[in-house]
Amino acid sequence: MSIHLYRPYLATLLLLILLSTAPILSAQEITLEATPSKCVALHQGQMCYSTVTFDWQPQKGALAQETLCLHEENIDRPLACWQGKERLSFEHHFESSKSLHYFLRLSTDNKPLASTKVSVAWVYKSSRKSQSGWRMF
Amino acid sequence: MMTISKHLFSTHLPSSAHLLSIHRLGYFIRGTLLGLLFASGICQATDIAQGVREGSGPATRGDGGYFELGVSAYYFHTPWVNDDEDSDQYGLGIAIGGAYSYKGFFVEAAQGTYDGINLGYNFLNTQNWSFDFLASSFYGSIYKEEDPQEGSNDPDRDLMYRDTFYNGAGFRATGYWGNTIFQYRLVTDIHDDNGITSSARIGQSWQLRNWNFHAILSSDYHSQEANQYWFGVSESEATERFPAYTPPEAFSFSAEIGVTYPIAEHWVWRSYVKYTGIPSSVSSSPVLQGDHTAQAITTINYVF
Repeated sequence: MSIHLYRPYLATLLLLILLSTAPILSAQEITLEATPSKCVALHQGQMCYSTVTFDWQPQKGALAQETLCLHEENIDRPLACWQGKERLSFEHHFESSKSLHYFLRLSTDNKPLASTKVSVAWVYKSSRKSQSGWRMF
Repeated sequence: MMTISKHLFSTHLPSSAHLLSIHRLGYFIRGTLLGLLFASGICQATDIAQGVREGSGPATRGDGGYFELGVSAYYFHTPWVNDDEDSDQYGLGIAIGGAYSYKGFFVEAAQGTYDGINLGYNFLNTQNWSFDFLASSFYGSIYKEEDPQEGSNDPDRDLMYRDTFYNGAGFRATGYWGNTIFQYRLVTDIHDDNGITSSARIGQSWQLRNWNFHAILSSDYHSQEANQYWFGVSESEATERFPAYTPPEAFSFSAEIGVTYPIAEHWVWRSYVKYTGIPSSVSSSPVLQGDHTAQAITTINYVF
């Protein structure tokens, strides 16, 4: 059989391989870090406040022409967007009573290229229950 | 804080345990005792000292608790007459505190408490109120070891270093409205039938970023029996230096402001200043040389 018969299939296979590996390669090419990565409040349930700096470092040549955006989980609007290596850090005023994930994404794609987490911790963990009424042991 | 020495068992929560030489420990404890007697507090359905810092709403205690250990720097102004006539004391010490509850039963030893160590049972909770039985709420010192029938070689010293241990049993109600806490407490001494004490305290907390500020205003009532126990001098005890004196029942008032900051997940910094005015009917006692107490304490604790 002639190889020409398989050319369309080979081309499709090659395309599929490229598409499927592209996000993995991209994710490997960039790292995202939050400093500090933990916010500590006094009591469980309290809002925690911190100035968090996000740093990312794409590998050489990667994503040079892409528009990247930094996102907070559950919020569609990005915290910031920039072109390629135009920006390599971002300062964010963190305010939350729970831990939050942050993602780097291409402006044209919802898939995260890199992610990190800012944890919320408390010195005094509450053991209270929201329960009313008489208590008999 | 709590301090234990050969001659005394005292719980001094208002200021964390302090490392003092033994002879000064007595002064410290008495100064602290006055703080307990005439100050207001912050803790609730937990000691109001603890509750106001939590700023939490009314809720049933869950099982569990915490323990904290740290170091403190303190200043005390004590009104008690003492050997070296020094009313102002400074120093470094150890701070201990904690609370634990299980199925409604609780034990509290909050730093900064006004009420000492509390053991009790939380029996009712409503939307805004929490009600507790206090089986034992104790503070103070026990100095006397000798048989009272034998008398003492130094009656002046006996009056300066008198027993102050008070173990109250009674009732406590705490109301929560946002970051405002009101606490009423009524107990009677079960250690030696030394009268009734009662207090009404209101605390407010504010959070400014991760800084937690609080303020407490307090009014304390002591029955005549309680004041006689702490500040009275009976005819049989009277000496040339300390003439007989019988204080009446009395109210006192105090105010406290403080701040708490979480340094890290297990480290917390806490500071407060407290002032307590002693009513003239009590400050006229010969065993007192002032009409107020004041304390300023800063602590760094590791929380387990």
